[in-house]
Amino acid sequence: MTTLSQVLTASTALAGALVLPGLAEARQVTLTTELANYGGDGAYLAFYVTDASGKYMGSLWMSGGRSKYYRHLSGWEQASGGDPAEVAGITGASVGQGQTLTLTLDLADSLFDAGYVLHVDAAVEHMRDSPDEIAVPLTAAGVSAKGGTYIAKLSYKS
Amino acid sequence: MKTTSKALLAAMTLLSLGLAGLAQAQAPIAPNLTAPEAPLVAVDYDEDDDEGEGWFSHRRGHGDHEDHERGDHDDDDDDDGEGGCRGATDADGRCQTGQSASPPANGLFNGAAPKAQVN
Repeated sequence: MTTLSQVLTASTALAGALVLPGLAEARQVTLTTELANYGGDGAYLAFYVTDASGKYMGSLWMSGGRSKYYRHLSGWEQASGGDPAEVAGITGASVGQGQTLTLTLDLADSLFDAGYVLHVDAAVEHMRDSPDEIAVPLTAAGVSAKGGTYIAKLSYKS
Repeated sequence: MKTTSKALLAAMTLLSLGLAGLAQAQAPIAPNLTAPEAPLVAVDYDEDDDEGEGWFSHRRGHGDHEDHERGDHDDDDDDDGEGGCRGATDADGRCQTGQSASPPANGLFNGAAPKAQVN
């Protein structure tokens, strides 16, 4: 009986050790991107992360569903190799001028306050490409930043 | 009169020599001229041809089709303005193109797929 209790206790502890860290590492992030009134069609936007040395870590979101135009997001293309598989399952529609894109992301906690950088590339039909329109650090405190050409403001909070 | 003609001839000879010298002196300048810089704005991003129909255009079996009316960048030939995706988007704002609904295993996500909303 004692042995059974010990086994159950050990099993419960092991299960908790496996599950709880996963829950503790989750961070729900709301990322808001307000587009400027730039006088053009809908913008393609690529959201991706690099480490402190600039090494590509992965993509968070792609606004714009036609991969033939991803080459205009040249910062993302250079970093990721331009492989559409990098944004499989995380692709949405392009975003019109004056509109606001709100992303809800369930991210790994280890990304925050560790030197990682969130980059946003933007491109619009018949207008100049804007690689790295915004680059901000990923911090637990959140960030609010102004864009350059197409993005009026980007902010996130967790 | 004879003296005047000689003087005139000498003056014309000198003038001819001067003009020839000037032309020779200017000749090497021409190769140094540089072409004006290309404009910064690229006008036609189209990959298919040079018909100038633009970034979001594409070819179809029934001819060269243009579907880049404002707000409608989709492929489905309608003008419903959803834009940006080949098909419809799901409730979480993701394009429905037959791709997986789960995020890529790139270590950034904690398992749940992102949700998107455009207002």
